[in-house]
Amino acid sequence: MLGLLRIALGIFGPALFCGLLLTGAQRAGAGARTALSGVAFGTAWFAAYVALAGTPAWPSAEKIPAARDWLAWVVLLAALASLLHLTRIPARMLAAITRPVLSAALVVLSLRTWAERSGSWATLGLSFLVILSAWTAADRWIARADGPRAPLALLVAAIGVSLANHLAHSALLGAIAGALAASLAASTILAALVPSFRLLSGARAVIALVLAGCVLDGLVFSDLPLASALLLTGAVLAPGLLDLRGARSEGIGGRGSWKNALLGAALAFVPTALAVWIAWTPGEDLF
Amino acid sequence: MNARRALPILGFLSAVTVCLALARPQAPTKGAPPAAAAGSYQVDPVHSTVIYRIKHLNTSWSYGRFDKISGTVAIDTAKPEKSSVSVEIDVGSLDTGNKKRDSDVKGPDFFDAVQFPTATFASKTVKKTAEGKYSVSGEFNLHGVKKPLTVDFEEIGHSDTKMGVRAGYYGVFVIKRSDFGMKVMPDAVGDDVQVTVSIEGTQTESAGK
Repeated sequence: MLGLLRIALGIFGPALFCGLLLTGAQRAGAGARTALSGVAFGTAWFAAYVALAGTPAWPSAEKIPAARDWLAWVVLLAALASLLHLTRIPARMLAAITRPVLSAALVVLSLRTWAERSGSWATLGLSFLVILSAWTAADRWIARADGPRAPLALLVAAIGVSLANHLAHSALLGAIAGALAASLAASTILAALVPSFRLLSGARAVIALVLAGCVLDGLVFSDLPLASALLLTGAVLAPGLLDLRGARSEGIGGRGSWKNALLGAALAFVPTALAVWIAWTPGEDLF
Repeated sequence: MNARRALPILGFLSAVTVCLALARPQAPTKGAPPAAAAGSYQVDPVHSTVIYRIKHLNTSWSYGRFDKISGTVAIDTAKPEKSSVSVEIDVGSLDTGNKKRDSDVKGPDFFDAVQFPTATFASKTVKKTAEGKYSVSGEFNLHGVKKPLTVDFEEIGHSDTKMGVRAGYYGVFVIKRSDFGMKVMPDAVGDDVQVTVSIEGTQTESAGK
């Protein structure tokens, strides 16, 4: 029950802003386009966060930020880091640096206090490894996917993260994952109009962090079952299976085709649906 | 019945009455000193309660109760300003009477009990405002946010029984949940939270010792 005005301000407004900025960026050079993709997704999601949850807390003597507050700051940092693509640093090198740094920042800032109290340092280390591995693997297939394939498949996964968190007793985590889904929907529409559209590394960083943060927070601080969390991670990776067909993919309409996009979405949908179903029917966790 | 026969019966009844009177736990005495005995008290979690009420859909009151409370109260009757109160609430012990709602309220949207498992109040100043009434100011720590808070406590009573020397206090205060970083669902759940604290303390150390 977020209220229609809040949904409009928190979800559709930022998504529209993201779509417009991505559209404008299509005319820019490669570096600027990558930088703007991160700024578009990052600032839109941050604005949505502020509208839905309020300004994230900053650490002080009077306040300890919650994990979701840290997620907001790390996403904003990722958006700012995407501006480094305006420099002459090679994109691959930037990605190789930002992925582990931002993954570590997200995990350590979100879970440190909890790990200190519970002594679950292994969970912290394992979370870092899973997020970094999943982000690296997802980056590989998303970088090669033209047109609507990547945004549509990630839209399915983001909707899954949103629904699963709603069902696991956190409307807020569900809403902030939903805000990302709205931006992905806007980029899917853009990809339908611009067949050469790709989700560039600036945008990919924001998407990876928001999805990872919402799943991690749901798993540790809410009631998201571990099986759902793993399946949602799988949903982000599954569309990459299409690339295993290699050159044959060209035979059914090319990598940027709608047929490929729908196949990718279907591959993401299967683990997503299972994850949502498990979150909906709580019982003993499968693991 | 002649007097000789009646005498042993009356004697027996009198003895029983005296024994019963001595065995009966001593109730809080009327006309006893209004202030509890000076000393340190441990909060008795079984006889202490923290409940809150908050508006749902601006229509009705929704209640929650915390089942695990601990803390200490130090009472200085001669110098009330030297008294102190320290209370810790286990946020995970919240019971709203509905399991699904418990999960929602203890989750990241509200209390975020896994991340912030305790709420604490530690007094800084205590002022005696009237006989048996105190204004206690201190720091309230909830959901990772520390805020100054003043609570007016009233002494409910005190007793000296087989269960030890006890004192009871009662206070009501109102906070805004948004001040403590809980801003979700402002249309469905009110911002003002009325918190009622009823503490019973068991004396662990008297002032003379």
